[in-house]
Amino acid sequence: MLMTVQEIEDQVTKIILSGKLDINGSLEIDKDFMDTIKSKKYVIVDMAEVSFIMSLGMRTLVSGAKEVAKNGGKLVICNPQSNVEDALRESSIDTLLPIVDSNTDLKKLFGL
Amino acid sequence: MANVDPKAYERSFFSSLEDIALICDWLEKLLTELSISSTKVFHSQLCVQEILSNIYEYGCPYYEDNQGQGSTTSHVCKITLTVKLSSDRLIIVIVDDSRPYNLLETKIKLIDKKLETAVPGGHGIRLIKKYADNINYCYKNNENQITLEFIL
Repeated sequence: MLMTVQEIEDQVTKIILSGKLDINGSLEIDKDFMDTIKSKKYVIVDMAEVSFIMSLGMRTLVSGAKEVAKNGGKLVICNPQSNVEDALRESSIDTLLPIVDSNTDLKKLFGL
Repeated sequence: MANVDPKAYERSFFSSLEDIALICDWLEKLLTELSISSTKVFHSQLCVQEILSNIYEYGCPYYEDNQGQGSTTSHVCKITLTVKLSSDRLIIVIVDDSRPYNLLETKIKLIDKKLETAVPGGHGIRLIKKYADNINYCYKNNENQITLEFIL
């Protein structure tokens, strides 16, 4: 599981995940993800290259969203693959953090 | 469960992260080679990984408790995964010697739609019940046996 962090605008961070958020992938990335998130305000998690997710991976995403909310910010999931998006929606993760595509006006979404 | 006489593939392993990773890779490769659709591979992998994750996280301390000494010695459970494929269904049987746990009796977590109060995680059982077309559980000979059936 790979994680790349890009500061794309003032206060806006993109985290690009690549690989599988399976048991090992989720445990592998959880600490780095949370360490990265805790000082951020607006976070886009690009999941286009994530081919698998299970509840452990969803736990990491929701924990991250709660962390940025403490900073008055928001975390969004961008471009998930169809099976991954379906699993996220079946778990109602989309009611907690928005699922968007790359055409979404993120400035508007973040209220910037 | 349907009465079928499918081809069967079997692997036994332990509930370590290393073994679980290897067995999940084996399962994905096997199902892909058997021409199972990518969506069914995803669904079956997810169900299997949720069950293995539960065994890894919660299944083994039972034996420590039974020792009654507050021991922190880790116990590794033995797991056998059998894949059976017929023309119209995929059956995956997971047998393990961890503590008895009937996922069919587990209540599905209520969905909290407020981020402030939502407790992260705990969606595994919901996803298993959503994606597997049939689920069977029994406990015999000191082993859990979970059978997942996916209609192809």
